Amino acid sequence: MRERLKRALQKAEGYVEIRIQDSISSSISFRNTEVDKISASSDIGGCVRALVKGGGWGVVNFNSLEGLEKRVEEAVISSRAIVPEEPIELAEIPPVDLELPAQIDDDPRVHSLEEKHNLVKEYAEILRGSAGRLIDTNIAYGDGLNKVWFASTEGSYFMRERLDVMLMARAMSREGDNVQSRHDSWSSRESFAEIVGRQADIESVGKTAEALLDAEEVKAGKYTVVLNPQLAGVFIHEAFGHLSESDFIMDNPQAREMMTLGRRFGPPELNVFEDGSVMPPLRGTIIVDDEGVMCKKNYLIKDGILVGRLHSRETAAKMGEPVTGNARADGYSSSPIVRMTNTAIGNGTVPFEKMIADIDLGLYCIDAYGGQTMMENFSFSAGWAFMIRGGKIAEMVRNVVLQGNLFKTLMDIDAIGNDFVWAKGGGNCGKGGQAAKVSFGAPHIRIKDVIIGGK
Amino acid sequence: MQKILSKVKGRVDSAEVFFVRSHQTEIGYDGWKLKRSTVVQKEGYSLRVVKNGRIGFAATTDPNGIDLMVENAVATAAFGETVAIEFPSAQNFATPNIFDPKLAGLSIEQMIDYGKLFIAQCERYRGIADLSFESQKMTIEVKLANTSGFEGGYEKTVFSYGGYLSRVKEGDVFMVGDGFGSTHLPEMTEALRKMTEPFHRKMELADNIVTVSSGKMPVIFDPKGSMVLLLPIRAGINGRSVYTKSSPLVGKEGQKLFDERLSIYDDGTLDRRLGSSPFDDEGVAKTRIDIVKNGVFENFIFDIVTAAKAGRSSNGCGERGIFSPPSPSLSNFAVAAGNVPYADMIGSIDEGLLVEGVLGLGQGNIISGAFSNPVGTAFKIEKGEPVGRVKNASIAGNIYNDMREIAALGDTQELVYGSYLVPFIRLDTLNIAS
Repeated sequence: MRERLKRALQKAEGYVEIRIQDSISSSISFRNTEVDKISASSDIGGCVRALVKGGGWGVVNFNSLEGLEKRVEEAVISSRAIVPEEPIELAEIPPVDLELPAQIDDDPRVHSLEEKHNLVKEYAEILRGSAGRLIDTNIAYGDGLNKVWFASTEGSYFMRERLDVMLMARAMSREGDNVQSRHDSWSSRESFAEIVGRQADIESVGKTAEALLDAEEVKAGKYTVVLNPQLAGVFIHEAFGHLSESDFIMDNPQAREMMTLGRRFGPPELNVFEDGSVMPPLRGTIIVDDEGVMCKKNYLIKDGILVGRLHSRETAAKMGEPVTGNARADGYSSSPIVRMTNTAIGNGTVPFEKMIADIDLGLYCIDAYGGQTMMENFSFSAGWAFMIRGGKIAEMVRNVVLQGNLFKTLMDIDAIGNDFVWAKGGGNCGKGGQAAKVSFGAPHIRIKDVIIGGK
Repeated sequence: MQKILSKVKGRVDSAEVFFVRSHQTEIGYDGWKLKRSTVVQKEGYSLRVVKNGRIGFAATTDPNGIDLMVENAVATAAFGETVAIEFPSAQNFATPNIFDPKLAGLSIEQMIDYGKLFIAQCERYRGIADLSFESQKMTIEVKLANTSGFEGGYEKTVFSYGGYLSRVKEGDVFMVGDGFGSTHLPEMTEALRKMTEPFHRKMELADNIVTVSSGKMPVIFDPKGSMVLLLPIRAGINGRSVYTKSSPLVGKEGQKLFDERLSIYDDGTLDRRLGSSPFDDEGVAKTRIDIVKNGVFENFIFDIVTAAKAGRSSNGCGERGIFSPPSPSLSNFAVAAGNVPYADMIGSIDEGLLVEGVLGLGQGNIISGAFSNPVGTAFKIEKGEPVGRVKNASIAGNIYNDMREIAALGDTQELVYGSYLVPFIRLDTLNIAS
C-alpha cells in the first residue's frame, strides 16, 4: 500500500494526502430474548485531501480504489476552485513513518459467530429476566478491525490498525405512564475477553431500570451535586472540551477572548487534559492523528488556569500555537476536523466519603443519559441519582437534569476526588456529522449551586 | 442485481439485494470565508436472506467483496431473527417528482456563489458575528431486487443549504440561522433573501436580554422549536413498540388523545420533498399515513419485519443504509395547518414565550411524552409582540397532557429541517422555570 500511495502522489501539486481505510465488522443484537439483528460487513474506501498554494481544501471521498491518481487530480482541481481571502497555512510537522498494528490479546475473529451469538443470547436472557417490570430490553455486541493507511506529499506515511470490541445493554421499564430506562456499555481495544463474564453487570442494568420506576421525581432547585467519574467525564467533554476545539475559536474573535489562555476557569485544584496516546489503548487512543501528527498529553486547564486547546495543523498555524494531534476523521468519507480523543479531569485528593460528609441536602448523580451544550450553556440528564441527606446517600430520584453555565459551574467545583478512572464504556462523540470514538476520565467531583430542572 | 441473487439461489429460501450509489458535492464557508469543497462518491450492496425462517444480513462497499458478502449473509442466517416475512413482488408505482435535472448539472462555482449571496445578505454583521454557510447537492441511485420477482429503481436529487450567524459578546452567545432542503433547486436569490429576513429582528432582540416570570404562561413554538413536542410522537409511533409495549401509544389506536384540531401525517409521495420516493427501501409503495387525525391516534409506522412481528402489514416505512438492515422510519413528517394567523396567535398574549429551540432536545425519557429543557433560542412576548431574548429559563411538560388542548394552531405549514412541515403551535399550559 505504501508504494501504491507514493505512486499516486508522485505528480501531485501542493500539499496532498491520501487516506485509505479497510475495515471488517460484525454485530449481533438481541431485542428481549430474540435475535434482532445479526450482520457482517466489509467496508473499503479512501479520501484524498489537497491544498494548493493560495487555494482552499479540495476533498474527494470514494469507495473504489481504482484510479487513485485520478482522485488526486480531482482533489487538486477542487482545491484550486477555492480562493480563500487569507491563505490557509499548515503548521510544520516532522514527517512520520509508522506501522501501528493492533495489539490483540484475545482476537474476536477467532471466536465463532456461534460462540458470540450464544454469549449475547445468555446476556439477553439475563437482562430480560432481571426484573419484573421491564417492557423492552436490548443487548448489542459489535466487533471491528479497522486499518488506515496515510501518506502525504510531505513524506509522511503511517499504517494504523485498531480493534474494537463493544457490548451494550439497555433496559426500559414501565408502570402506567411512567417509563424509565437505563443503559450501560463496555468496550475494549485489545480483547474479546473484556466483554465475557459480564452477567452481574448486565443484571444490574435491568434492576436499576426497574428501581427508577419507584424513585420520586427530583424536585427542581439548586443543589450541591456530586458527579460520579463517568458523569464528570461526560461533563468535561461536552461542556468544556468542545469549547477547546480551535476550529470553533479560530475565526471568532469574541470566542477567542472568551477562551483566552491564562484566564482562570476553576479552582487551583482543577486540571483538565486531553491525551490521544494513552496506553494500553482507550477508545480515544489513536497515537497519531489523521494528519500525521503524533498525539501527546495536552493540558487544557492547569491549576485552574486555561493553558491550552486542541488543534489541527491548520488551526495551530492560524493561532500560532503548537500542534496537539487532534485532527480526526471518522472514516474515509470524512475529512479530519478538530476532535477530542481521551479527555479527563485530573485526579484530586478528596475521598468520596469526605466529599459527601458535609452535604445536608444534595444529589449524587451517576452516569450520563444524554447531554447537550450550546456554547457556554449546558444541559445533562443523569442516568440515575440519589439524594444526599445529612451527609449520607439517601433515596433514589429520577429525571435529574443538570443545567447551567460552564464558566460558573467550573468555578463552583469545590472538591475533586482521589479516585480517578477512565470510562469503560463505548462512547461516540458527534460533531459535524462525524462520530469519533472517544473516552473520558475523572474522579468524583463536587459542584455547588447546580440548577436541577424538573417538577 | 440478478447476478447476486443467483449466487444465493438454492442456498436460502428467499433473498433481497439493495444497491445504493450516491454522488455528493458540498461547499462550506466558515468565518465568512469559503473553506471547503468536497466530493463524496459512495456505493455499496447489502444482501438480506431468509433461511429456515431466519434472517441473515451482510453488506459491502468493496467491489471485490461480493462473494464474501454472500457467504456472510448465509452464515449470519443460521443465528438470525426468526420471523415469517415475504418480500414484495413486482408492482407498478407512481413516481413523485424527486429528480431535478437542473440540480444534477449544478456546478461547484454556482454553489460557491450561493454562499456569496448569503454573505451579502448578512454583510451588516461582519465584525459583529461569525458566519457559516454550507450547501450540498447529491444524486442518489437506488436499486432493489428480490426473489419474489421485484426489481425496481429510481434516481433522486437532493439539495440543501444552511446559514448561521453566531455572536459572542461578553461571554454571551447568540446563534441565529436556518436551512432548507428539497429534491429541487429553488430560486436561490429569493430563497436566501427570505431566509435571512427574520435574522435582523432576532439579532436586535438578542441584545435585549429579559427575564420571564416562573409559572404557567402561553408558549408559542416556532415550527423549528416544535421539535420538542414532536420528537416524543416520532419516538412513540415506531411499529416496534406494538410488540415491545414501550410506547404510551400502544393499544390506543382509534382513541382521542389530543386536541381535535391536531392532525399529524407522514407522506412519502409528495413532490420535491427529501423523504419522497416511489417505494421504500424494501419495495413497498409509499403512501400518506395518518398518524393523528383530528386528535385521534391512528397509525404506527412499520417496515416488513416489524409489521410481521406485530401481526400487521408494512405501510412503506422501511428505511436502510448500506450497512444497516431496514427499520421503521418517517418520510416527510407533517402537522396539518390550523386556522390561526400568526398575528392573532401572538397578538392576544400579555406575557409569554416564543420558543425557537431548546437545549438537550431528545434527551431524557422522551417516549413517555415528558420533556424538560432549558430554552436555547427563545424570546419573551409582551403585549402581543416579542420584546427581548430569554436565557436561563426552562420549559417542562408532557405532550400527552399538554396537547390535549392546544391554544392555537397556525394557519401555514413551514418546511423545517428539510422534511418536516409544521405550523406554529401555541400551548397555554406549560410550566416555565426561570
